[in-house]
Amino acid sequence: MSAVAERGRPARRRRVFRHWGLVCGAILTALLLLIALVSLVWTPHSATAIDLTQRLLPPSPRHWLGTDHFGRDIASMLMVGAQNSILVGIVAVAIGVALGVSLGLLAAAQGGWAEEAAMRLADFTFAFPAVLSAILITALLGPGAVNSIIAIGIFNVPVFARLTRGAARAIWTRDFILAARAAGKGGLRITLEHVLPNIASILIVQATIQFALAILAEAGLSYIGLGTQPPFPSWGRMLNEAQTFLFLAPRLAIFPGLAIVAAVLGLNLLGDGLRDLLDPRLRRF
Amino acid sequence: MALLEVEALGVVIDSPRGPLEILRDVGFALESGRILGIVGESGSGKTMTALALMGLLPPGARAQGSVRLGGRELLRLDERALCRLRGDRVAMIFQEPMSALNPLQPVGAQIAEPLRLHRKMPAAKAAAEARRLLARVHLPDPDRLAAAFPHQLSGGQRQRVMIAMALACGPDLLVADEPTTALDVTVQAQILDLLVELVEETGMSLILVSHDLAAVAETADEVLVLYGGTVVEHAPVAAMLRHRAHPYTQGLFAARPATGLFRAIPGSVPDLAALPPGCRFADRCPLAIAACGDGPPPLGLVGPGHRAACIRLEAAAATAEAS
Repeated sequence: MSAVAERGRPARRRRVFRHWGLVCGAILTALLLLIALVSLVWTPHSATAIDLTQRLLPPSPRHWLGTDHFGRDIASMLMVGAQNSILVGIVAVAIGVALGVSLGLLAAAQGGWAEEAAMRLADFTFAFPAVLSAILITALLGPGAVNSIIAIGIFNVPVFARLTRGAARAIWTRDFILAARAAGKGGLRITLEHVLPNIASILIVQATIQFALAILAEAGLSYIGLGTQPPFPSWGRMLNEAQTFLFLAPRLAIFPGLAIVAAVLGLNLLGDGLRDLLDPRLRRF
Repeated sequence: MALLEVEALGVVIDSPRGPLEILRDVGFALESGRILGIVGESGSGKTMTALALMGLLPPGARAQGSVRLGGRELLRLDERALCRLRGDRVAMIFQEPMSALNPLQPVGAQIAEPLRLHRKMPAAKAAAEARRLLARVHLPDPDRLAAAFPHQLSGGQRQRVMIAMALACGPDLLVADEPTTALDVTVQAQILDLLVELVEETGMSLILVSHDLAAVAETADEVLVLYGGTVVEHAPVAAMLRHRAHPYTQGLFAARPATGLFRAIPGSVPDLAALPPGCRFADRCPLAIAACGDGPPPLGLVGPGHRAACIRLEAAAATAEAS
């Protein structure tokens, strides 16, 4: 028993490095966060300053990734755009988690009509393709960063509601829930103390994946002009503006495209890696 | 007045084919400091009886009759009142000590939980009490064990942790649902010894649900034998060891490995959806006659405190003499 107790921590550390995907994902995600943080205090140039004498310059020591058709520094725009992507991702996932997880936990704990109602509501939201409903919402509320966040957040709710309900129902059938009831605990206490901690790993993994999807969705909405509005830079709108110059200066599309790919890939690898790491079936080895 | 008085306890499950009476007319009384063994094969209603006493029946199952603890009717209490009672006055331990503990919490915290819930004990005091309880169920090195997670313990250690958790608030009644079934034979004996010791020490009552006749015979003061959801025989252990009145109990004893014969009872437990109107054991009973199918046999007195539900008790006594 003592040998097992003392093996716990180093074993987990070794496992982290066995998963190269998790390491790559963590590095890419950390890099994304770092770039966004740095851009808050410093960028090579202003991300919004227009200088028509410096248009469409190729990459150089002065402009690391060149300039766009208004003479803005692409590296600076990408850095500031990372802020935007992260903000959208965090807030949209937070909305989805807060509403979806509560709904799912309630459904699993109550059963009966409450469960039916919550799940049919989730089905209803699911029935509309995510991007279409986001377009609908931004069309109703008007384009802009805040409204696109709300739209993406709403489409996250049923994802978390269903996942939470399914996982929580499985936990509710376990013996330790019966034991907790035999110890005199009520539904709310059992949900918060026993059910939620036991499904947390699944939710964390899903949150990273939804984070990546939210970044992608925001880029999509910005691309069609419903997301972040000018002059604040956004990766999706940079792609849109690059269209006109696709043959003249393909790098205008390539760099923001690469940024989106790196962010989404990093978060997905992180999510997959975390799933392997937190899987209870692997925990004991 | 006995601590626990159970009268005409029944459990009904609503199924698509109509209501199923999975437990019928179970009655017994249990004094403080006494141990009642409930035996029967799988599907006999042992666990349902235990869950009904705790008010923990699965959704769709209803309890009928009367369960009084210290004179208080439990079956009419609402969920809130039951929550206050469970883990405080009545506690339960389970068959699978692995899955009955939360895998994500240190065991010390899980033992402290009932104290914090029912006694409103501050965290530090509850943690100290949890360590004392670990020592009380004879676990070595309680200080370190309290910080261990369930998967770091052996099966026997986990069951001791479960017992410590159940004992936390000093319950009047402990319901143990097959507490030793998942354990090694040597560990089984230790756990049963511990339970007996704790009953003697605290004066609580214990209901020991088991399919292990030998374990119950060594541990309990009296035995209740269930078959197909009904009581077939109820007797003090000593009387039961001398004489089995009911043909089913006789068959159960003959099927013990200790006899060296391993005589199985032919047939299987009755289908709960198609229960016969008469004696539920009739189709497997070597002594069955046509009258057995007429109606449920009444519990007849065989000796002091010894009752059996059979209309062929004389014939059964004769075969018991012969064998």
